[in-house]
Amino acid sequence: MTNGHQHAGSPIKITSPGWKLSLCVGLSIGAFAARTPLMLGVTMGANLVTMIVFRPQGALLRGAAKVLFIQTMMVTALHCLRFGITAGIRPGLITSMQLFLAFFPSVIFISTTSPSQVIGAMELILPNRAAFVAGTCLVMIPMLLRELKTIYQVQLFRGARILPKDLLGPKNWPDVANCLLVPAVIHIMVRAQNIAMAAQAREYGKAVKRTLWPGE
Amino acid sequence: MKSNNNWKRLSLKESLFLGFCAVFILIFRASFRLNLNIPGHAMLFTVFFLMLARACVPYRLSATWTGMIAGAMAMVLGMGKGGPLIVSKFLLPAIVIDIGAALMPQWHQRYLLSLVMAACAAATRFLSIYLVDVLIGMDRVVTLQHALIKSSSGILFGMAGSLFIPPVVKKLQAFGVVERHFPQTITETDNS
Repeated sequence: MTNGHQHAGSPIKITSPGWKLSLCVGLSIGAFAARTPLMLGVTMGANLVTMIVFRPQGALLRGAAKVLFIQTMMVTALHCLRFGITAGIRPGLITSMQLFLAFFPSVIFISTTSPSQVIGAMELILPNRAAFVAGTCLVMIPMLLRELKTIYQVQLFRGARILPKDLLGPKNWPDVANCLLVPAVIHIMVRAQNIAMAAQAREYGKAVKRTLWPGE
Repeated sequence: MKSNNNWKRLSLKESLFLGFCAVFILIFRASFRLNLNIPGHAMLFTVFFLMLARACVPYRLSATWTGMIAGAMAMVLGMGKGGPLIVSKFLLPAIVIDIGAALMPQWHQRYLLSLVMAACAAATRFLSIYLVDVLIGMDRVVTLQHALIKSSSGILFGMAGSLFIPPVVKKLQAFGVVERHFPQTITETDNS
């Protein structure tokens, strides 16, 4: 894998996730204030420098470019409809670039930060328990996806009409509720109970400030 | 002695269940964005899981709590446009759902009430898009058009998501899992 946070000698290793998150949120907020071409240029330059320093991965950058393209087409078209083609293009392009720059720093953050650092960053923006819950649930995503897939395949074997082509017919929607959603919800209730029991067995909630696993 | 526990503190188990609902919102948003590029389709999952959170966990701010977690995760994970204001896309519908649930106690048993609540919750998408566009400094008329285009389909998808709530909650209650995992009433000894 060529994630940004895995580059040898990358400055990411010496950058705390809290500092990086603050920088990216700051850049995002900066995009809202950049209403003139000069300010927009400065914000773009700051984003470019951040990108060079942190080196985000290519796949996410391609996704971001797609967002920029769709956003620019829609917003510029609306401006052209309102002000005419010649007068609408410039404000349309400025606005779409602002919208893009409000979103792009998050792409830099996520593509250059390891999962454990992301969980550490959650501590900065959420209360203690909410941060623990968010971190735990994020870590569980791959397992949840595997279990959802298992439920889906078992229900298909049982004859449930939940294939993508079946979903085009509303008469098959009850099957989605009964065969997929209900088992999935029961599953996460049981999962929540098990994790809570395991955490409480290790005296979760006894200390005012909980301890965090420091490693990657 | 039994008492209603709608204002009690969330237990860790309940918090984790709400956290999983938040994660499901993000998983479905991310996975369907790749295959289904229809504006507003994310409201289907957002509204469904926020309403499910409120229907299953007997706490008055269940949906708000789920929305807050989903918003914080989306902000950190860089999902959606609007930077830190992405939180409002989850928090505003969640607040509407909690208010609606307080006003209509039997909402999850009736399709009509679920539809009304979902329409109101999904309509907040207009506000969150409008807020981002106004802060960017976009022209007011263009902002209105932009927010209307994006939010109208969101309302339809949100209402579609709410149609799954009555059958799913009915089934969960029939199996007794809601009562077993998240009891609606607590005794004084449970509270201690």
